[in-house]
Amino acid sequence: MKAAPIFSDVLLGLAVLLVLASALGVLVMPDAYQKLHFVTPAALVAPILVTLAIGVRMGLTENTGESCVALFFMVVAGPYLSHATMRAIRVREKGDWRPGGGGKAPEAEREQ
Amino acid sequence: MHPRFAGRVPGKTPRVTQPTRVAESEPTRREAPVPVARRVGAWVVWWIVLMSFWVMLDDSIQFDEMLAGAGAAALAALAAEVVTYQAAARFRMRAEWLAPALRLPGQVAGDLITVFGALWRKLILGRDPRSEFAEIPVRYGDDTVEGATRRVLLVGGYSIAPNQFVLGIDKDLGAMVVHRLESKDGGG
Repeated sequence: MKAAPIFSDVLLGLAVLLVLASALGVLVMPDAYQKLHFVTPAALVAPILVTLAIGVRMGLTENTGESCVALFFMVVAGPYLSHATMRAIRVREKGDWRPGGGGKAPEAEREQ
Repeated sequence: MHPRFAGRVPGKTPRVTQPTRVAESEPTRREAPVPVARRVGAWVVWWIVLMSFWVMLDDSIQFDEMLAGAGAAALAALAAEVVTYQAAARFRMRAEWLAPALRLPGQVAGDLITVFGALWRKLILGRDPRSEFAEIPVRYGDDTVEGATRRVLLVGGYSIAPNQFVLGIDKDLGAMVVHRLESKDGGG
């Protein structure tokens, strides 16, 4: 049995586990800020694993290239979506995302 | 009546007042008109890039497929050009700014352990993560295209690892405001 299909399956399995764990994190975390931190593993790391799995299984083919293009967009857009979402939550809560903009100073603002 | 013309006295030039404070997140206003040739050039560049993506993703060089792709790329290029023009958005960067990106895979891997460690403690011990808002000192920089690009890259770079997201860069504070799921001082 060749190693590439097994390695590819392991990568896909890891991606599935990561998405399941992230979904669990979104489910159990108490507030919106904390839930958002569990989106990145599902939206960034799992797609990297899936793309690697495709690359390992199919080699340098068009499918791998297409997966890389899709991954590129996800890697570039993901951090800014998280940033914009977190900022929107903060603005909705405090009126401004800045430390002095209607909320307490960040140092004094530890949630727990 | 549009508010812009409210209170205008006939024969007098309306006085334009500047807003007292413009948030750094608001789009900048274009101060000088851009030549049409330059805008057409930008549209052509967008069209070439988007058409390349179409060919790569559609995986076909049939005439009708290419025609559909050319039309879709033309519309998308028009939208991209109009948006970047309206927002006065331009991108200019230095190669050395990309060097810190080499550390990102390690940071993502480390933060994955931190984030899922917090999930483990929540599930097993019932303990909520010790989240915090924090300030990271950064130089805000100037209001040039290069300065704005640097800030955009800073926000993206600091938001890619899952334990930390950037809310923004405060010019007055000279600091980047971030939210961390687990604080740096002993979340475990």
